[in-house]
Amino acid sequence: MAEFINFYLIPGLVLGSIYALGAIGITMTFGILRFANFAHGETMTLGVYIAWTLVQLTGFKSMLAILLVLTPISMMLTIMVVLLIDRAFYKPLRASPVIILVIASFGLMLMIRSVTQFSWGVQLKTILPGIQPRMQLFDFFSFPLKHVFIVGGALLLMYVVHYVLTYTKIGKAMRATSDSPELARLTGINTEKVVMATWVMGAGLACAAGVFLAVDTQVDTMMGFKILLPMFAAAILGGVGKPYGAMAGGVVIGVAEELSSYHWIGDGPLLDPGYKQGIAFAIMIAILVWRPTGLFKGKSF
Amino acid sequence: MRVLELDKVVGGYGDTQILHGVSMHVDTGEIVVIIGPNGAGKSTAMKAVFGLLKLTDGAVLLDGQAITNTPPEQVVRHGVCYVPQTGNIFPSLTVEENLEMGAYVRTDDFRPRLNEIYEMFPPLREKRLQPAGTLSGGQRQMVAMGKALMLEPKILLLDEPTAGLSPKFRGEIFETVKKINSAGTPILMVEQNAKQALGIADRGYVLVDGKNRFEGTGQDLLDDREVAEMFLGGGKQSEQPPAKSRKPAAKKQPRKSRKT
Repeated sequence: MAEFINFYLIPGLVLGSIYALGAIGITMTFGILRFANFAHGETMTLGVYIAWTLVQLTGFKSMLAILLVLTPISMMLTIMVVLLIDRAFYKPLRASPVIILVIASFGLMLMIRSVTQFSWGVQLKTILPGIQPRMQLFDFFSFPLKHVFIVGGALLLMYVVHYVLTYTKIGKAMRATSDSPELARLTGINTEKVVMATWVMGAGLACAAGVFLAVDTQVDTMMGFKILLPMFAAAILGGVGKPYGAMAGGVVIGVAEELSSYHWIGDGPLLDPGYKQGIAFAIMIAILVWRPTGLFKGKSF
Repeated sequence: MRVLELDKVVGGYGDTQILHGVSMHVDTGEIVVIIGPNGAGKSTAMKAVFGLLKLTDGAVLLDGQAITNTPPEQVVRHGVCYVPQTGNIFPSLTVEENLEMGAYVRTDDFRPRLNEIYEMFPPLREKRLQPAGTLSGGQRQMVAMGKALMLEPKILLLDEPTAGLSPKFRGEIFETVKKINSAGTPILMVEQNAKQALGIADRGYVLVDGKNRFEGTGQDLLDDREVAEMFLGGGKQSEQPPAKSRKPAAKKQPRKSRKT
């Protein structure tokens, strides 16, 4: 039991929180700008490298300083970069067919990755060096302290998203636009402002998710791309355009990936950990076949 | 006073021209109904006001000011609200959030207006925290109209508000339209249920093939034999006018009194 929780459930929740934060941006971009943003993973990577650079510059070594001080700053810097990217690349294409935007985002994905690799190099880095303290609960639960911060941070950010979407004018306008962009326009909603808010939310959360992943594992120029698929799967599982769906979908996929290698039957893992990523694929396909609108009745295409 | 005027508007979508010089106007306090066979350009004429299609000729005047080819998000700011036939609510937003979105362009406090809307549509107050998508067809139309009224518009454009509703709800919607109008909002409405619509209308226009065919007071049009044959006879709305009724049409054409 303790083993199940310490080595499968908690890592699953950590991974799930990271997926959830990333998937919110994907699902909102899909809902409001109407395209699958392939560059979302690279936004995440870029955010991580910005954070890593800040760590080197400031010399902060403690997890708290990194998460509470440097992460918000990196989020803001990432948001600025993404808003500039929107200005330069997506804005001129606003009225274009969806496929053009998708291809543009694919191009941006390659561009951002190359710039990252060129500027910072491709060797692995760590953002939080050294052995991290563990937390002990009731003798048998034991997990790295950083996991508490990651899940806590993700919950806090999800609450902020919930607050913005439920109680602010721009948040309600975002949901309205995601429901029906055409009616939003007829209603007089400032769609450019909504688009900017979407990028701000997506980029900020992507950066946070990336830093959480980097704190948990390491810094790698391919890290965002590697989790792009599970994030898409989370967005689809939750229902495209539904931020709460993305949160739920992210957690489900993260936990399912980790639990897939638990020794449910016999001694060996049910599924070799190497195939973990396949779980996201399998869930995504199953959802697309049996319930294309996802858990939260999103859009189907 | 003239609130809205379409002056010989010509236009369509892309290369397809739908309106071939349509003229109509709405005065203060009026309910004006546009009827006509399918494909006559009724909804298109309305969309022309809202900048949803490109006009190549003619003019749209709001309070005497030209708003021809103004994009929709600007037309709203001029005080024109348009309720499309379908997709006229945000289904995942609650009733109240829908109404709030209707007030999006307002910068002042819209709470008093929200209360007025709830007074006008009591069922909406009861269901204000429910997602609008879960409401019945009739109530959705109430949300759509209430949302448009949040702006206290100079004129309200309704595109087939009773489409797809049962006869019971249809009556309710027409009552609602009358109520909105008597509260001071002029209304321009496209309707398939011509008889009922003309019954509550001050004036009506009959469009055929993107041109004005008849116009007159609601009662005039109801009494007109040819209009009755063409559009009011049960289920004949979509048919082409029979050949025999074409002859009197030529005679009646001059009767068309444009009071401009």
